[in-house]
Amino acid sequence: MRKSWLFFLLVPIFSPLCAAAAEDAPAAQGDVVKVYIVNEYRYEPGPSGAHADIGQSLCGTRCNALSVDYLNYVEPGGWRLIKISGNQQLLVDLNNPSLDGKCICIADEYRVKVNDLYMSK
Amino acid sequence: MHSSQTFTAFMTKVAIVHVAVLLLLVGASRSYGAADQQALSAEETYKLGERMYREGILPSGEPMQAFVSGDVPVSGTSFTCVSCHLRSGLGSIEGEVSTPPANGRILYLPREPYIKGYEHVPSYHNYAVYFPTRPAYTDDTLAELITSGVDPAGRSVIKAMPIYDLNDQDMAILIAYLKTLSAQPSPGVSDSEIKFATVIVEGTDPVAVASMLAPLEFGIARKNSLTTASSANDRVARMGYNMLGPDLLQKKFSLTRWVLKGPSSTWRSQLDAYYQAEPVFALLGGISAGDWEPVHRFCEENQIPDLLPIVDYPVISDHDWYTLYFSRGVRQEGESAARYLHGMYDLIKDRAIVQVSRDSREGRALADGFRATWADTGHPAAIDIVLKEGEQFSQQRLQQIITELKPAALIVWDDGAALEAFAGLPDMADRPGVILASGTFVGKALWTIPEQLRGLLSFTYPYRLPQDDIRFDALALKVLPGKKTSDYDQKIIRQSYITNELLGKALMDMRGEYYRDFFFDTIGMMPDAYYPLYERVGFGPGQRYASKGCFIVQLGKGENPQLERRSEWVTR
Amino acid sequence: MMVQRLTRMPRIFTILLAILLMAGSDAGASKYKRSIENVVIPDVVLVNQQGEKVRLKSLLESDQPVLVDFIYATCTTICPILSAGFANFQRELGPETKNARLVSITIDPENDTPAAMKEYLERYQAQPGWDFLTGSRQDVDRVMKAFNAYFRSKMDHQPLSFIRSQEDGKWIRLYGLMSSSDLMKEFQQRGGK
Repeated sequence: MRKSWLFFLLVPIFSPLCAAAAEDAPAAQGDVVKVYIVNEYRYEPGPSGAHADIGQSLCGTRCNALSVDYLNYVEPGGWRLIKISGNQQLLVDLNNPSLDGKCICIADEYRVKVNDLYMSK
Repeated sequence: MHSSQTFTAFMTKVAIVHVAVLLLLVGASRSYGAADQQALSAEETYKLGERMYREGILPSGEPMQAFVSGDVPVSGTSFTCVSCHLRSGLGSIEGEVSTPPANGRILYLPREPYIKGYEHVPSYHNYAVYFPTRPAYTDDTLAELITSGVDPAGRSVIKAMPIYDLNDQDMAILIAYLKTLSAQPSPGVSDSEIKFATVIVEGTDPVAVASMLAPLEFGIARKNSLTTASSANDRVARMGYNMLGPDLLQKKFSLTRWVLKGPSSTWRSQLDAYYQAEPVFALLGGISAGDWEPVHRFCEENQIPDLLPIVDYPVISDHDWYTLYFSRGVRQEGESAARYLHGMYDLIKDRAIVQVSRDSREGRALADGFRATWADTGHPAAIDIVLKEGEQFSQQRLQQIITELKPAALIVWDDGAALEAFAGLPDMADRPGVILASGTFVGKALWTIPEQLRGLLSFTYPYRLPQDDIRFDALALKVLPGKKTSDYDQKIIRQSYITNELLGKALMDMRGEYYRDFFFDTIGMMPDAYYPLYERVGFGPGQRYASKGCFIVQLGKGENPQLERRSEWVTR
Repeated sequence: MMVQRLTRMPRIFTILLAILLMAGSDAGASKYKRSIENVVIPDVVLVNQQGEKVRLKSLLESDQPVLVDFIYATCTTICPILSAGFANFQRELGPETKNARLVSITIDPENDTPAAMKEYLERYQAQPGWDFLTGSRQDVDRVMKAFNAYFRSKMDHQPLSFIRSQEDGKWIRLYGLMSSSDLMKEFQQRGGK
């Protein structure tokens, strides 16, 4: 999945070329798995200024979908999340022609690691 | 360990005496506003008391009047006894507020700072330490507590418990009811054994049945071997004692299979016969590829809990109590799709919404779920198109729908073959902005969608994503030691794993009070959990569908694509 | 199994608190705790009991005084007391009900649908001006954290109410079960301290 690795490099904001949906898709088996936990999100309405509220709502849906629940990683035992970077701004495509604004998720990036520390969960 | 036999006999006598006293009281008292003075039968008294306890309604039909926190008036219907003391009357613990038992058997004994018989169990969930000691209640002191909020030790409870304004007759009815609450252990429990059964519909896929049974039988066998080992080995006995307490440790569990044969109209009499032959404490799991309602009704009417049967078509009810389901079944995907569309309705409202569904059990459940949830939103109804048996959802049909109806959103509840209709979708003019299908109904076809369609088709997916669920493999497979995992249905193994886990936790929390209602009351107090298969499961008093979520997903890019979420687990 | 036992331990401390609270209470006296907080409301979109979307920031940062509590529809003990308190508060305000905005936010968004919340409000005879909100789990968690009222499990939640003064935008945090006279007193004194 080398393409998706490149993809993560392209995602940061101020790069209008990457209007494609940000993936939470971790790399294939054996590769490093990275996930996001979203802290907050905002929808910046486009030039028309329309649909600010529904834009915020849908942006929330997408950013929350992108975000992982850390309990899903630590509860089964054997994994832990290591923070790589904080408050990254991710641009997410809302995939709707009537929404001409930008959806930005502000997320921390984590690496998922097998927990090989002795005696810890 | 008290002897349950004599205790039972004693309590029966107590109950009879109290009912007799009650009838005397009812006959003799000057009744508040009642025109007729006829004595009530024991059963009527019980029903009236139950209504007071569960609904907060007086025998007169009026709501009970109550005051809480000193001066806040509240109607008894919004602050019922059952809401804090729970259906079994055995109390609850929520955050910092602990509600002690309100059943007669416990009220009429003094409360010590320990539970008799469990004094030396160190890690036992010993609720008694949470409450101050008090002398035993009498009818008078209990009435005093209910009307003034002062217990027999002189302590005030009005901070958390309302005081109720009841006349003598109503009070007597309520107290008589409390005496019947969790008075004698439920059937299926003896000194040495707790009996369970599981319902299997004959003809269900044998692999599915074996997968449902394996985790349950594993858990029960493991528990029984702990019982056996502890009678031979002190160290095991100590560990078992600490974990389970002396009573649960020495009870063995049994799981009988109740196989239902023939048409579902005959199942009820078969269930009655099975139960007659061997009254069990509760049903665990169970499996049916189709109908389940007769079993649900059997449990409801006999007040027997059924813990997490594996069914795709559970009975949907707001107030039935005795079956806890994994989810609302296949229907839940339809409901989630409706909520997902509702969330973006402002952007699609100017055009039609079309729902195409296969006329099969699965298709109907999905369509009904969508329709019912959509109706709640108040939006104009979706246009329904039903595919009859043998009718293929073709590209032509799709094109016709798009041309004639110009839907903003299209939902297709059909199997994987229907996805072939979308081959030309990227080139179709005026195609719907949202196309939804069922991730479970389309099955394997979900994974082979051509790349150019992946961003255009969305699916309901009622489980944790596969790439996330593998982290739970080790947990789930613990219930298959020494067995070949490929012999089993992994989804059902995971479901049954959850059943086994909940059973163990609930029994350990029940502190030796084997009451059917308390079994589910206990589960209702458990925190949300992260088990295999479901992203998140939650419980609560009266909540009967553990998993409430369903993702909307799309297939990602590349040769080994993964599913990607487009919604939260529970969409509002 | 043993790990589970250990994680139950912290509960004992909250339970001991309960014993202290219950043992020490005499008729009428309410010992609730009060503090002033600055709360940054997250800009999330929740759903009310009518199924309508509500942008939380606009609802809470209003020119009316606002009361907020965290409850859920199947709650057993704490919520009935909090909600009875809200219901009574509305009754006591009488014709001035419109002058205060009551907002209950669910901490069980998975179960609390608009229909469940509507039924809950009807049970407490809520008047217009009292809304019950649900939303996605993540958004609700964000709101709880913003109010420093986050509970990983709804079963461990605590009685918390908040009053916002429209004059200075600060929130009074009230921790504990309160009588109606206490709640009204706090409401009338808001913004003063």
